[in-house]
Amino acid sequence: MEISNIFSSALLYNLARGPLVWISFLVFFAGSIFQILRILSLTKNDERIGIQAKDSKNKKKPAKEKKKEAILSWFQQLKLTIVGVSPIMIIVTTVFHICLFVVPVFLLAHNIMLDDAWGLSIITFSEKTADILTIIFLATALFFLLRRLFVGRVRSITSLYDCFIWIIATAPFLTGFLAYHQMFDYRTVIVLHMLFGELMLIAIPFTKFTHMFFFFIFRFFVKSEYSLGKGNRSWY
Amino acid sequence: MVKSERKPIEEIKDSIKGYKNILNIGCGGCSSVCLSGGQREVNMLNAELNTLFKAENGSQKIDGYTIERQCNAKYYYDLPEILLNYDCILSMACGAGVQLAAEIFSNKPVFPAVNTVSIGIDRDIGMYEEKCRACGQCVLGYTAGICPVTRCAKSLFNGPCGGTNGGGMCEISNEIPCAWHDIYERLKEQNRLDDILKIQPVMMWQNQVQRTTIQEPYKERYGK
Repeated sequence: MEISNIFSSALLYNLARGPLVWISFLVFFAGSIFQILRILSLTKNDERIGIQAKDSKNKKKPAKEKKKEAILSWFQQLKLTIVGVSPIMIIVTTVFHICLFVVPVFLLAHNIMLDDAWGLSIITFSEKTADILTIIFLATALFFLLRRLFVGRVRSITSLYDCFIWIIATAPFLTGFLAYHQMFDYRTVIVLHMLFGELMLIAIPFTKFTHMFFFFIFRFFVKSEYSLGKGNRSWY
Repeated sequence: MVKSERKPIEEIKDSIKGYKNILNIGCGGCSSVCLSGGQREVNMLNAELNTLFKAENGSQKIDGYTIERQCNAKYYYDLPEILLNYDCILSMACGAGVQLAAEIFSNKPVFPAVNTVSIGIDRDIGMYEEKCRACGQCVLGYTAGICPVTRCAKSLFNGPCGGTNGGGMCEISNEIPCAWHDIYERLKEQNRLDDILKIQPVMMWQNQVQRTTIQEPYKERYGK
């Protein structure tokens, strides 16, 4: 049996659009909850230390006074962060992550299925918008691949695992794009699209994709010199 | 580890007044760890100073360069060539780093951008507490790990003064615990109250010379 015949077979098609969808969503949600609880259990909320009484020079300044004293504008301060150091990288990665989230969630084809199955109707992008966003996503993914291949400092820390992760993230979009434009054998491409999408959902809680949650936990809840906000959790 | 904090911007600006091209040298050691003088802080200070220079329409300009550690001459290898383009050095290292930079580049003025505050511990992110004054005569073994030189307002070596109040607080403030009260309590808890009776010789503050430390295994190599 040829490989294309396997992917276009009724058995695999029905499996991919039925039980595998449930399994992948179940693994995704259960795994995500497990990982979030695991990280929260590895950190604890610290008691805030106040030393004002002991040392008056450390007294907190009122926001108004602080603003008055500030020499740098918020934009100048932003330029001192990674935004100013690698602006292109920041723009590309932001666009990549936004597309990664919004395209599958607000895609017409996905939402029609959601409506058919549960009568749940959410806002959707027009097909043209989704198509353009998919192309933008694929372009940014290509940027990341080229960066991994040709930028020395990135290549030196790249392993096959990173390439595997890149494929899992990109393949659902590429196959979705090909299926929408009816390129190659539609049945094979759409089965591959579903399988890659399910693989990605399953992989999110157990691979580097966990940064989807960990980013927010580390930056907003765990305190470090790179915290965004006043998170007060620390590692045991 | 050595803890330091950045000087007020006005003081820094005033010290480098009159120099056109300034190089701000950061330190990747203690200053970086205590968030006062690493690469990030060098970039921040330079951005602030360049903004002030620009606002005054002055021709002053400051650049940054951070080395591994400013207290070791072997990390200065890049600097002689870089410094050809600069009139003075601003150092974000501790007092030791500033002095080594001044010694190596004796033809350039070196100004400190941080105040060296203490040898201390990390209490929290960006919060440090002094624990040692580097007196060179450690008595922690007799004082249950509490330093009377650092903790006692009078740096008393052999028991408290008469100013300890009933609650075990120091006479200078009711918020500050008496070091000797804490030493007594901890020694008592460890059944080591005998240690408090061992008289320690007074500190020889007078006639002190600049101290050089050679670790025991290296004395063969350097000792005369």
